[in-house]
Amino acid sequence: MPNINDYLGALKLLQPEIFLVAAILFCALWDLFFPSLKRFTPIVCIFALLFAGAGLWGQFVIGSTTLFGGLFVVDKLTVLFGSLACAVGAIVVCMSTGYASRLGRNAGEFYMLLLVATLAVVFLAGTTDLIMLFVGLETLSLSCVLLSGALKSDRKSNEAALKYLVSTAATTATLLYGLSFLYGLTSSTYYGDIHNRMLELAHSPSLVVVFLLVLVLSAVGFKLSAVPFHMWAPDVFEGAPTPVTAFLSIGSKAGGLVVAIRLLSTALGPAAGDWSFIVGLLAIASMIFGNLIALAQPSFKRMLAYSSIAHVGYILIGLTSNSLNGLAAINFYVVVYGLMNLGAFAGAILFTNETGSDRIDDYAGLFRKRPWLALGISICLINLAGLPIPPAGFFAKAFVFWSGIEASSVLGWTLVAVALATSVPAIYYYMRVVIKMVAREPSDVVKQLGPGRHHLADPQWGPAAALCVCVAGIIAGSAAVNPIMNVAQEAASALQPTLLSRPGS
Amino acid sequence: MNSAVFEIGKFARLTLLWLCIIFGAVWGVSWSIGVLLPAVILSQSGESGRFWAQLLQALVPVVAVALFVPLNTCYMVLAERRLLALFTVRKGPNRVGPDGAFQTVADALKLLLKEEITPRGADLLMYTLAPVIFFAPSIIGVMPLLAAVSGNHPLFTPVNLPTGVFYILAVSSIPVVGVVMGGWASNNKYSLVGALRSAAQAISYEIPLLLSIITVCLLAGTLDFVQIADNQRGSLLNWNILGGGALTHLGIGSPWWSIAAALLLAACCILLFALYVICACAEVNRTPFDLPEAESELVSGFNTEYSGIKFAIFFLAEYTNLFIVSTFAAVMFLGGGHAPFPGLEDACISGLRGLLAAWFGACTPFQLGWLVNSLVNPATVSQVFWIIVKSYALVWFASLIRATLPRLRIDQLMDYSWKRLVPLALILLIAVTFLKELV
Amino acid sequence: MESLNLLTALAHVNVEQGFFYVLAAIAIPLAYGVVFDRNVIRSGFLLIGVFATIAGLFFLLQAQFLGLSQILIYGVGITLVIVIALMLTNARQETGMNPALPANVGLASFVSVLVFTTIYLSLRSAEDWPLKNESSLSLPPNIEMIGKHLMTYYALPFEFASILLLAALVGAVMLSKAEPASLANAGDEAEQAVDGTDRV
Repeated sequence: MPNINDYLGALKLLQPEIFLVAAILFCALWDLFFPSLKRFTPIVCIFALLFAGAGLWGQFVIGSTTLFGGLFVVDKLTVLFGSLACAVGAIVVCMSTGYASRLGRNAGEFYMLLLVATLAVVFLAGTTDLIMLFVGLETLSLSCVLLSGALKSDRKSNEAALKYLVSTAATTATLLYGLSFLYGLTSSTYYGDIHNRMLELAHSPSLVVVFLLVLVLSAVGFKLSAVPFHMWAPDVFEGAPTPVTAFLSIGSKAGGLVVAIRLLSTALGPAAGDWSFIVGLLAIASMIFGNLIALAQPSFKRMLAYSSIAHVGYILIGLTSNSLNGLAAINFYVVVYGLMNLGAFAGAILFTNETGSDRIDDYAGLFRKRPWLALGISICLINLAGLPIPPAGFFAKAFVFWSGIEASSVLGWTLVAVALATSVPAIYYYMRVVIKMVAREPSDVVKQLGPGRHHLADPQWGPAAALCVCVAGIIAGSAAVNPIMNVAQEAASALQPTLLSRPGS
Repeated sequence: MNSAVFEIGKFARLTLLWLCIIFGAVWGVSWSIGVLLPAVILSQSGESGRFWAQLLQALVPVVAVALFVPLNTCYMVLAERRLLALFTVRKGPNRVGPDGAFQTVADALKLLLKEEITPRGADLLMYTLAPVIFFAPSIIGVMPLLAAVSGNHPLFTPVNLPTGVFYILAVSSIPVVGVVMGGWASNNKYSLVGALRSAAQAISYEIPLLLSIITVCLLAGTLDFVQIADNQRGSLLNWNILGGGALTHLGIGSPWWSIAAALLLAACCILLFALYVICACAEVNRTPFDLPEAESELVSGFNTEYSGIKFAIFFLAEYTNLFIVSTFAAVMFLGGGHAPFPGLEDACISGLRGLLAAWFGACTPFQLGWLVNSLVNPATVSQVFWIIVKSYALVWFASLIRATLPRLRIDQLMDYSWKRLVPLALILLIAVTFLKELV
Repeated sequence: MESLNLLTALAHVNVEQGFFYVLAAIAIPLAYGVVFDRNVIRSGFLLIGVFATIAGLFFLLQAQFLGLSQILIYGVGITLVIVIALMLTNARQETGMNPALPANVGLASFVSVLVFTTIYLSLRSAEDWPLKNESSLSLPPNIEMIGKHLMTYYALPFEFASILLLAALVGAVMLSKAEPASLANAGDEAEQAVDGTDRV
């Protein structure tokens, strides 16, 4: 029986999360009681997220600790993804300040839901139990649905919310169906017990394991928007408010990814042969479709949406290899990709706020009028393309490909071959934007831009700050590839101790 | 003044008559099925008849409820009409039978013989199913209460559930489906409006209702009706409405915070009871919450189109629900079958026992003693007596409210639930949790 | 205690399995009815029936608490709200439409059969489902177990669910909150003007 001291100890480790909950309550109530002080909500949110992220990061030094009898684990992977989520949340809040005018009276609720989504990712990062996994995923989905529909007067936003809601409901059903089979096979919801039971089952391979893997992976693939579960992504990405799109493309994906890592490589580790094949298929489909469709997109946001599908394909290569290096490569990729992607979205917000346009053609000649903005966007895009200027994005891709080669299986080789082949169109469609911004004559929209405003009361300061942070992060990341890779490797190696049987029983 | 006293006397006489009919009939039938027949079977066929004997005993609760519901409704409708007449200084029904005692029987007969009409465009299946769905829960739902109201009589013990309270709450949420179904299937806009109102109201008021019951269960520490009733044994101070025994532990020497907590707890529980009564009124669509059937605006709402036996079923279920809600309150808050003052209960039981001994003491030669003892068990009689007093007092109170208060408007209704009752219920839940530990 | 004999007799004639088949025989046609009935409102009511039979299955497994919650929350609470929402749509208009084209029906039934076969085969393929052979009638009441687990091992998801519900509530408020008229139908300038006045 657990005693009260265990709980108090557990709560001590959950302090950052509890702090976030307090911030959530604050956001929910602040507008109600102090409507005149509304504008401080995002600032409080940013500080809360940074504080919580720092608190989480402080836990990096402690080893893995299992809380609540095996329900939640605080290890380096939890810490990495948790603090990543907090950082992403802070940057997204920062971006949203440039967007708040469109949210009307819902700004307070918007920030609150953003915090809830971030908190859900933090909890997903450490969950080692199916029930917690399910509650966390539901919270994440629900808050993302609401966030996508935050622009109530915008029909596209409504459409996005509805599409997301319906498709998320369907995948919740498949996930629950899969989890119920998993529970039926193993009669436990705890990852460690499931692992042990799967080890026994591995002696007599059966179709049902494949079946439940398909069900579970369809839900995880949905969160990651991997092909063929990507149908919702482009419309939702386009319709949702741009900060939300940024969050969906990295925050919610990080949540899905960490769930996939933990569930697949610990609980379902013994079935790795089965799932790595399925994941490999998802990866190939995502890379091919994501990159090819992104080629044809006229809208910047839509292009980023499809390209994010392609990036998921790259990330999944690391997962397929199911090795320490592969997982480390994923961690590295997510950190770097998060920064690049957020930067690109921040740039898109800045551009759209000023011009009201989202078409790629309208970006032409931006360098003449807004050199710093064009430079920032260019750095992010070049890195997304995986070109080595500065080399963070390049290293991320290289690590992932290397882990695929290291697996030295037919699947690994195929994956890397497909990845290399599809990187070519990726470079083309990213560089197209960069070249347009730098080299071409200004488009009509850009011509009409006045001289830049540079004072702090400008609603543009938020996204601008976000863009600066992201670019600085990319440059810093390029300078510090080794330390980041070390962290990523430590986080990946944290997965092994969770395979112990349930503590206390 | 004199005439009012006279009318009250008449009402009391009528009540006595009807209660004797109801409970005499119900217990007589239950006893003959559950005790007499099995005894006969067992003495005739020995072991092989055991299965049938037990089957008969298992049927007792069902038969008892099935018999009780129509009889009780006849009395309740009559009592309500007489009481409303009393409150508004009228005569009330007084022609059929002595003092109009059988007025509702005649009404019921008339209703059953009436033609049944199905409106054009109605969804026949739903239209027919609606009264059944409305009525069935009141039969099924009352089962777990039987053990508690009969003082855990062996015949009714099997229907006592460890989750009894929750069971009743779940089952009593079903009738609203019947209301919505009937209102929609009638193909009548008034019915539909009544049905929609009813659904909104039922869902809104179910929350504070549930919360208040949860709080009482928290106080009692169980969901079992028999245990909840037993916990309140002793005196008025042990009743849940006064904090479930918090006040009895107080002495001169107890610390001040304990006294304060006990008093506060008692106050909270009284508030809880008020909360329960309000929400229960809304749940069973009683005035001032009778919007779903508001006669004056919706021509009686969801059951406008119903006639004949289907209407009778709606009618039956409504009054049965009122009775269930009252009995529920009697068990949960008002001490179940226990007397309000210490000693009173024992006096009742021993007095009854003495009476029985005096009357039937001589009859033992024919082994009548055993039969009589099983027929009239003094402890059970005392419990049932107190339950009857408490439940019908609450029923009459509902009539008093109906005669006194006007109907709410729909927006007031919703506001009242969501903005007043729900917060109050939450506060009380937390307060009682902490106060219980402090006492 | 007297009824124990009766209960064992009931268990002996495998009444449990019989009840299961009865409930399944009710639930499956009802579920089909939900899909096939042209009238959405009637589908909604049929859905309530499906939930009720599923609650019956829970009772059969001695999961009283789950069964009752199923009735209270799904059977009545949620589905009724859905039905009411459906009542506010124009159901008569839709009954006249023909939503499924024959070609789609063929494809859909093919996919359904395929999925069913897959599920069936995969379920049969595992030999060692951890099953309990004892009659569920003899199990102790499990409501205490549920309570204990919710408050100890599952305390974290239980508490976290409150955040989920809070988010849902706030979201509902956000979506249903009335916007100022100028915001609802005007362009960017109007929005910014409103925002400006808000800040003053």
